[in-house]
Amino acid sequence: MGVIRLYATLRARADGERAVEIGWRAGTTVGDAVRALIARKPGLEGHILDTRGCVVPYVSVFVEGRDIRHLAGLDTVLSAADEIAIFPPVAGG
Amino acid sequence: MDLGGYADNVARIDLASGRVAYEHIDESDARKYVGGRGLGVKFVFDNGPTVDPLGPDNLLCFMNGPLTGTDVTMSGRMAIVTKSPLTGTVTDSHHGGWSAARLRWAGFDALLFRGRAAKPVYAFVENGKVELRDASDLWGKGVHETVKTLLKRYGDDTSVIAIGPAGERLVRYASFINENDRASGRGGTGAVAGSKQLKAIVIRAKKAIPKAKDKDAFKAAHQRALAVIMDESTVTSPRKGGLSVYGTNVLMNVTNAIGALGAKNSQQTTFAAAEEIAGEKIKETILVHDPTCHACPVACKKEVETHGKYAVHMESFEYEPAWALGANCGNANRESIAYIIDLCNDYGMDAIELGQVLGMSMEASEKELIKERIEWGDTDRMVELTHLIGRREGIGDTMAEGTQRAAERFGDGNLAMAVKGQSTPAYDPRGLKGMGIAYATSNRGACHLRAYTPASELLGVPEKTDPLAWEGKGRLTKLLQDLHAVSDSFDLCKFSAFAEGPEEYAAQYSAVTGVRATGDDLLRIGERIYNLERHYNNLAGFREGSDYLPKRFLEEPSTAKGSEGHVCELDLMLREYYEARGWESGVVPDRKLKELQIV
Repeated sequence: MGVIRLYATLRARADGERAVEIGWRAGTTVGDAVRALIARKPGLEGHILDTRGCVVPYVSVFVEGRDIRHLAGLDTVLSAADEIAIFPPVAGG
Repeated sequence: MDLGGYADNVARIDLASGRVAYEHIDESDARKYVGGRGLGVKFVFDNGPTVDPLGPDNLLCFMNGPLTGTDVTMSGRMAIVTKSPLTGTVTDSHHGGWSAARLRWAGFDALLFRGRAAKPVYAFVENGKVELRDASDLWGKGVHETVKTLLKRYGDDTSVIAIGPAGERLVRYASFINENDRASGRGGTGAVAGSKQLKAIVIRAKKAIPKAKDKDAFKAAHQRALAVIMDESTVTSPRKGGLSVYGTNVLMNVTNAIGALGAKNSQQTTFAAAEEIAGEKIKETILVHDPTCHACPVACKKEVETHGKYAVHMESFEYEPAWALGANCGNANRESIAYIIDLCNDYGMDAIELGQVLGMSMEASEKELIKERIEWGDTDRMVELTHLIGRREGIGDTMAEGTQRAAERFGDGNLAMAVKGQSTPAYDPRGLKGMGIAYATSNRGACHLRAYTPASELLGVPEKTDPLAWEGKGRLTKLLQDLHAVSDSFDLCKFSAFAEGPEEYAAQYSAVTGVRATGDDLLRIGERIYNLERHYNNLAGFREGSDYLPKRFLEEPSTAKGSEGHVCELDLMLREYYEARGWESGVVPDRKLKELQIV
């Protein structure tokens, strides 16, 4: 289905939306999907990817619950049914 | 004593005789254990590890550190240190607000209570003196009424730290509550006070910021630390970072997303309705204010107001109780969670332990181990049971003993998600492996705050580690335990560690006290404190086999997205951890005690 779920302060930057359907095909990379998201929601510019196109420090991008920092990063290949979740820096106690 | 920051004044209060003795701090102890948690543990250690936690000989310490009440950012914490009636270990529990700063401004580093009063008393603290006053009219009252009465009596510039009926009735996880809502939640410090007939501490003091030993160095160190806390890329950034905007409950969705949110007494590792009780939803629906503590721009406290059956106006809607009373009990009703947290504050009880004992009892009911019907998510029943526990009535009397003891009485101790008698918090160690070794080796029973490994496993501080990898988590846990042992001794808010590191701490500590210390020196002090705690526990009977996890985390694989198929590899992490510590099967050897100058 190609859904990216957004959390915490990222929602306000995406017009208040919790989830955005991107509709990627199998074989699309996370980087492609995130860039498509930012094109759709320009308020996210600079808050997920930095000017070099890398994930902003402390921002977490998960594919099916796994942080892409422990997969292949933005080159992680998606299946059509995968779900992406993106969080700004979060911690507490 | 020639160190800056300290008041150099400790009051020893004998509740039996009513006598108060004042003493200076031993400078060698201050250099070795700092203050707050560290010095408190030293006092408790010197009092002896075999005392009955609920007997008159147990020592109950209210501790400040040398940074307390200064301008150091996030320096508003107080440590309560004693031997725990829940675990039998040494324990320390901290609260925020203004009482810590006021205790310092009133001229104290520590108040040490021993003995048992003949009738209920409270301690009135002002201008370097402590007086015991009659609390007969307050005994039996809830925390909210107690605070209201005492504030009316003593006016502005006053903090009240009180116990409620749960402490009086020796509920093993009774808490001290500061200023109505800030809990020294864990370990049963409130029950220790109840056993001594000590109802409250009342501190009256006007603002009097202690002077740093080196003013210029302090200014530079303070600005450097403040800059990293305010940085917009950090979670602490005021009104921009996730912790500031949503409070600790910003975590609910992320732990759920990675399969590390225990649900229904950790039978599951994800909760379908997590969004309904998460910080984002709280902000949209019931949030009314963002209170803060002394010297803190982060303002992570979240005050809420609800209406209808569970009408309440309270602070603070935190991640831990939201999980314990929510996901852990199969409950998605946020209004009921707010209401029960406030009941916990009024009775003076640990909301984590309460949520866990409720969740465990729901599973016991489901498995027909007990006659009582306690359904998952039955909020009215949860409220009713909270009252019964706070009063120790009916089944509440058993549940007031804590999750582990109650599960054993129900016939299956394995239903208790607890370590050393204290329930596990809101991070399932099948999805966050570091929390497994952190829970198992915590010196105060299961605890997320001794070594907050999600800082690394989720956020990436001090470096990003894979939450599903076990390798390196023993060493990471040791590092974080040592770091937090020293920050707890300053006493700084844990959350400062999301932005600051040992070098920022060292610069501020050095400037305030005049002790020249590096980040490595501080980690060494933290290691000493952690080993002293462990040595105390060893002497109290915690030997090989005391560092364990509930079987569920070891044998029942997660079925949730993100952590599917995983259990917690505790034995492998324990081996690595003991090696890093230089311990022998959980016991501190003599050579380590000598190396760290503990003996």
